[in-house]
Amino acid sequence: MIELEARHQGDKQFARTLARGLALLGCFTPGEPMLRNKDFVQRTALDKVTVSRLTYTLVELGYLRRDAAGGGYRLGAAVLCLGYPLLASMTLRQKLRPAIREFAETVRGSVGMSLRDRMRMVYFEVVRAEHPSAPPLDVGASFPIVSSATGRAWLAVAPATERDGALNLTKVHEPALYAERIDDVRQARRRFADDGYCTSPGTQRADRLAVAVPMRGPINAETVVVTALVTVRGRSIDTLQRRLGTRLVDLVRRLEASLAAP
Amino acid sequence: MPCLLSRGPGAGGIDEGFRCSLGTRDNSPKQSIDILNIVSRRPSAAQRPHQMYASSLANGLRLLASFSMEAPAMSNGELATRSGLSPASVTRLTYTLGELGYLRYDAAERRYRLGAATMTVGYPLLASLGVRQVAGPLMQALARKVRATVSLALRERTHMVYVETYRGHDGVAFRPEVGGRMPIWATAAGRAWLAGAEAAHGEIGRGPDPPPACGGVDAPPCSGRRHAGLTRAPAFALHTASGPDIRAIAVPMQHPIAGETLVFNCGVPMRQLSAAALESEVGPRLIELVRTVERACASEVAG
Repeated sequence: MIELEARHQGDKQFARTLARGLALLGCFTPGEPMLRNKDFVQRTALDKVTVSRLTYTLVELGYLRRDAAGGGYRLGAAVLCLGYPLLASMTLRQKLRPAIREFAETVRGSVGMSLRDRMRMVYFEVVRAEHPSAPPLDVGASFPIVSSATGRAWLAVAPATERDGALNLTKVHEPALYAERIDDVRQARRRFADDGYCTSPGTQRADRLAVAVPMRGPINAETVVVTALVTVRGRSIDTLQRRLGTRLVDLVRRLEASLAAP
Repeated sequence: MPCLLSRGPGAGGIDEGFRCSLGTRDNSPKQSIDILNIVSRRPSAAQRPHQMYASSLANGLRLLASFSMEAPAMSNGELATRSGLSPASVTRLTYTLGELGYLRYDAAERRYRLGAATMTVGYPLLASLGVRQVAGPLMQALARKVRATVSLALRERTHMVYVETYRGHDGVAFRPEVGGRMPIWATAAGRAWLAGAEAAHGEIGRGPDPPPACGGVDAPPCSGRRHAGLTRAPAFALHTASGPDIRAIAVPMQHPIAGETLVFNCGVPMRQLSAAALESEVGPRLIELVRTVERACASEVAG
């Protein structure tokens, strides 16, 4: 919050109160679904009076709701409605879903489509195989661009200005992650040129494998990435990676062809 | 306990007999008033200025909420017309929302579109609803079995919002999505929520008045009917206008989760199933699903 305001200091066009209110909504995480006023104060470095005024307004509008038992606030269902038109205007999902479902069932995994949110990739469509080993994946879930297969696939094809924008944001907001990952990211780009897909770096769960392929050509002016996520069991990860990657490239080319057809 | 049936899009109000038969536990007058207030609150908060009210925040959120399926991309001018805000305010707000990832400028169309931050912001809410994980496989199995759409919904003031949805078909009709909204008064899920919230929070009189568009309080009441073999089941609501050519049936959970009564909803194309068949074939299955989920949630809490 402080960084954000520092960046816009003296910027008269920047609506500070709006930014602060949205920053409160951004304080929640899956592990912390309930926050008290003092948690907001701590996380945003705003004063108590400002926080109370913002929470009051957000409650009025349904974006927060009071949790009487916990003495704090939870996200209100209105936050889910914000993204609905974006989700619903991605009409490609409906057209592509049968092919994606078939693929997910074949590899006993989960397949997601995602787009960029600043320095992260966020899933707007998820199809999960009806199989217990298919990893859970949710619409709205997001992962850092520099450390996910999805993000690397996006970096490989995104327009240079967007790519630099995402990397700069990471550098500013997550300097440690950036430093740790940037060489890796460059390598992944070179490998993408040969393979046509990206994989997750080895630092994530050893029993999960993610492979991602970007779609050629923007959709609603967004670069969309298709990611397949599977559980790894006792097989050589290299073989599995190659096999899954090749298949996913094939799926994405078919998806593109079906979008191009009338 | 009877089931709640409503006929036709004009029907409003909950049947008297049905309401009387609901148990009252966890009876808190404060919460009852809360339900009543929130649901019937009509003038938007923006129309009632309050010294605590942060209007630039409210205006920014209002701009975001004015995007829709019909208007997925809008210029500053269009947003100003729609919101009634001055062009200068709109420019400032869209600039800020753009900086924060909530809007994104589509240079080719010279219009703003919603940014991906609008999807990320709700994720912690979805992820904290553990009931979605518990219910997912059961919802998927039911959706497939009855070739329907099975959803889970949460209340958002005057609407029900989908938090999970499974399709048992790949047809194009009736595709609820996470974040999609339906008015409480006009849908099975909303009526089931009213019934569930009443059961959980106690008697709230006649409940909030339905808006005139739903036929007003004088509209024919829903018919409460006793359903053989479902004596332990709470009400489920059946409605004929939950979507284009869709008949839906809904069952509320018996206990609130994180303070909210959640509702399971099952929508079937009208030509596929009659109302009677929906009630007799799908109803018991949906109730069974909800009871199974409740048991699983209870044992998760206990364990």
